[in-house]
Amino acid sequence: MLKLLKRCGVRVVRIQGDSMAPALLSGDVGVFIQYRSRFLRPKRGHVALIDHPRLGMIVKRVTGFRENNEVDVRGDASTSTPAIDLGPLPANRVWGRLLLRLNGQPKHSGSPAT
Amino acid sequence: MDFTMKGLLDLETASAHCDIPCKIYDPSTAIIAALSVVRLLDIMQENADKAGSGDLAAANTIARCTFRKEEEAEKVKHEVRIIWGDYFKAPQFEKHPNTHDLVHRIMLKASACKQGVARSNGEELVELVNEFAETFWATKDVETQRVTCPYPPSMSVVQPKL
Repeated sequence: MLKLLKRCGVRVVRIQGDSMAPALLSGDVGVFIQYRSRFLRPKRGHVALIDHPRLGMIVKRVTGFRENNEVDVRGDASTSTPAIDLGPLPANRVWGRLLLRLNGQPKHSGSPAT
Repeated sequence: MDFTMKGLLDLETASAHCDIPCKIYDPSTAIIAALSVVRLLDIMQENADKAGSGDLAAANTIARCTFRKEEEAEKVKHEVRIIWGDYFKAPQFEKHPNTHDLVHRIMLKASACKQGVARSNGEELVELVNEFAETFWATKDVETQRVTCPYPPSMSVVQPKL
């Protein structure tokens, strides 16, 4: 199911860590939609799923753009890895945008996830 | 879609981890600890005969060295685990796929150094940690060199060419 979604440009990802708090908390599940058309490109302020060359799969906020098709990103929380250590990143490393956040906190029995 | 139970367990994860106080990783501490294990084994060997013939001071030295050997071997394991667990991520493992095996061999060899007194185990531990250091610096595209440490046990160690 998840593989099928990914093929359709949607990824469901569990978040580890609080560097994007309060937008995303550790344990949350994020639904991301792929940047793959001219109508859906990274914009300043997007929470993005990034395939970082050194850190692996990470989630950060897009903060700006440079020449040579590079993107600046940073975490929201003050304790996040400094932006200077994260990038700039080639735009093709920025996979997609956060579409939906599912709260990772346990709910009472029987409650459907929203 | 099941977002609550087993379905969640199969999700891929993305890191939003915080970096305080990370970023300072260096295998040199592990190398020094491994050298210390060899040095302590040598001192124990030097005092073995005297301790066996009832020299209390020599027995005391052996007791102290045994205690310190335990600590230094544990330090090797701790330092290597930190780099392996905190610094290495998917891209590094893809580039250096034998890292898991190497780290595991360091764990076993350091334990062997704790359990016994064979110098060969200490020598092999230094060599394994040297290999780990070479892998670590390779992930940063930093060249390394082997130099002989200018103090006992005068063994070959890996240093970055900075």
